[in-house]
Amino acid sequence: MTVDAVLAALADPTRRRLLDVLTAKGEASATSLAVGLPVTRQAVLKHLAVLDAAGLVSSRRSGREVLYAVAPRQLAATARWMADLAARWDRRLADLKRMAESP
Amino acid sequence: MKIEREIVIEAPLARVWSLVAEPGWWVGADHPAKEAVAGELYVASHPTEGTFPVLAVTVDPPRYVAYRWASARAGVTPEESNSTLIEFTLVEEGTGVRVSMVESGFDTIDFPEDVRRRNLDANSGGWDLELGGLKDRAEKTE
Repeated sequence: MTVDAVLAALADPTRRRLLDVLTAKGEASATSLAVGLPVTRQAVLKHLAVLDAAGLVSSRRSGREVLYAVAPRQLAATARWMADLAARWDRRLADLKRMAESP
Repeated sequence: MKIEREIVIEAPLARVWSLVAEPGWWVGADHPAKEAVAGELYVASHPTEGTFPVLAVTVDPPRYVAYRWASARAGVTPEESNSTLIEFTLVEEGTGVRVSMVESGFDTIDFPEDVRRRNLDANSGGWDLELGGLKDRAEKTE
């Protein structure tokens, strides 16, 4: 479970949409996820496997179906990492401003 | 996945351009103090973070310059597979200049393991970032 796996997983719009739907529903099966999206159940399963490998979703068996849910830890860690990079740019741009404005 | 930042600087466009067009200016004091030429590779170094080759991708004076650098791997020559693209756009605003920075390409490169760990351990400087709803999702479900 690494930053680049998370970023690659999030780079796909269908997978981002899946995360949005899962967030709204809390928990859902691949079948019910496919109903609200313009893709087949088979494609949904493939995307869920990528999200699972990146640590972005978790799954549990409930009777005959597998239910998926968003796993927030990796999302939060990746967001923290991006926020840290953004904060570095704030410092660099502030340095640039200081230098440009000094006589 | 990209980072977007901007700042307004109270200085003439030519002054701001001359600083932004110096390849690797953001790395630290030790970088070439001259205007970048598209296609050229430069080296900027930081006392603790290491030496970073910086490729000038596009130089369009006095308002746009784009570089590539492999920020996660000091010493590596930047290519599309290992580096991010940094773009600076300058727009005059009142008596000053608005500098917009976009760093993109995070979702297409592989990061070395030690960098991942260090970055994951790093503390955040706030949630103010362009992540396409990442923050909302993370917070809603935590």
